[in-house]
Amino acid sequence: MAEPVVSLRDVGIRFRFSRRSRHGRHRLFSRKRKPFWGLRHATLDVERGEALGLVGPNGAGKTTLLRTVSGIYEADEGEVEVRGRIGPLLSVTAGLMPRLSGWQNISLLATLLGLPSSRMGELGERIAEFSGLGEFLDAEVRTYSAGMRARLGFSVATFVEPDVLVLDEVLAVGDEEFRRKSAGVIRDFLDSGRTVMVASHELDRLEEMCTRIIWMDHGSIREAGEPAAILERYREARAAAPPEPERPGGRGRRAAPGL
Amino acid sequence: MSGRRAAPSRSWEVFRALTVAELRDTRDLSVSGLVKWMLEPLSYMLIYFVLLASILNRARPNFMLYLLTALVPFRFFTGVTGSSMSVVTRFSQVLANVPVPKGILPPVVLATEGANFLVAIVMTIVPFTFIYGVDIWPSILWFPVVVGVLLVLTAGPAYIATVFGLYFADLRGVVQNLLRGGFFLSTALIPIRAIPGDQLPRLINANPLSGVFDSFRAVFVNGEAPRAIDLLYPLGVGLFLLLVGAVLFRWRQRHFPKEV
Repeated sequence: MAEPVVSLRDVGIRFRFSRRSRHGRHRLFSRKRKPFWGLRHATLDVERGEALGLVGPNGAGKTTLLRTVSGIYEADEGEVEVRGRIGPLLSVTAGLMPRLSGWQNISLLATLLGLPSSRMGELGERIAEFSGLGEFLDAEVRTYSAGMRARLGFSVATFVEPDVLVLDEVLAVGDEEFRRKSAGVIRDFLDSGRTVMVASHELDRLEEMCTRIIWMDHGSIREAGEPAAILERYREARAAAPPEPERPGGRGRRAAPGL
Repeated sequence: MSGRRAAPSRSWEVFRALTVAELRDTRDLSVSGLVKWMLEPLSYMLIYFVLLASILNRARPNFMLYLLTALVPFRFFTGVTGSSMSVVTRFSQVLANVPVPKGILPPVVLATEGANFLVAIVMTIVPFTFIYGVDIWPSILWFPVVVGVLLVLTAGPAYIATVFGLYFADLRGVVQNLLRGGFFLSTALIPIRAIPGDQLPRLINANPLSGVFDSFRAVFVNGEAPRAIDLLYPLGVGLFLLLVGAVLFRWRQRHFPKEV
């Protein structure tokens, strides 16, 4: 049997934040700092060609899991194994630098994602064409809307030819045309035997796209399995759950970073 | 513990891409950036020149050049330290979204500030050597060695400041003031033999920046080879600071994406 393209074994990601203050030094030295497990005991195999959807309420650990798979967070416990190149698109900002132009960001992001500079010219044009940003690529990215940034980030992440495409809540921001184009790219991606991991609150879209769903809750994988069954149980649980209490503002009560 | 992952892009390509991005982002190689790098040391030089030459009557031969050979390397040292304190924040979007080797960040700062530093040398110090008629041949051959020592002396503080700045960002002004104190407690403005007493010259000699400034002066003001002690002492201190910085950086670097 082929080796899974992504393997997580009892993985934990720990954050530290102080109840006293948001200042960094308190995260470093305060006795009141509390470890917070954004992800705990996560064990998961993702096979080549699989489309894995992640669902769960805000703060469930979806982003933490995807950032761990992408190599951004290093596991504090457990083991992470990824066989192949990752194409991460983990936020609307996508690692873009606001004061650089679209073209300059294409060059930067593609290099950071492992595209050799010798292929930049050829793929740069294709990325630009797919993004559909035209002359806006000459403008600074800080002037872009969220949808335009998502277009650019998605275009680079897919055109660097990753083995695993990792998407976190970014496809919902684009317009209808971009959503149709990106759905087509993801289909082609899966047809060519590559892997997609996607976190989203768009449950219908996940059901349509994914071959397996994992339901995350409080930093753990609660259930994993066939999309229709998992999503039905998830919808029922969400409908029955009381509304999430609003977090009070003020010092030390902000949400843990990166969740 | 974490196992092997997909390798990130090659370090050199990442380094080059981030350095180019940083230079474009800061506009340091634009016309306004170059003017800034030229005017800043020149304006400081004029202030100290008026203060020391006209008011305190402490002028020395080739005094403007004498001041610039301390001001330009010091501007590089403080520029790297200050920029390193915010480099993780500046690249926060990249660190939070793309796997990059974090150890590349301080070298990116050294490279971008280094580009500015070389431009400042060409645009300020070199013209003054012509104005004062200093024959810098063959002492100019020592220039790469002196710059190398300055780089080593600056690299350690760059790694330390990268970590320190993430957790103590609000102390940036204090750090800048401490560095400025280091400038005054050096041979930047007055040569060591002109300083009275025993304790103060000892303190100034212990400052590794003194050796660097004196080495720059040997090359550009006196047209001679630097003294070995002026190169070896800052080099030794630099290697020690680099060791401290490397240990500190290795300890905290994996947490950078969580902290931004």
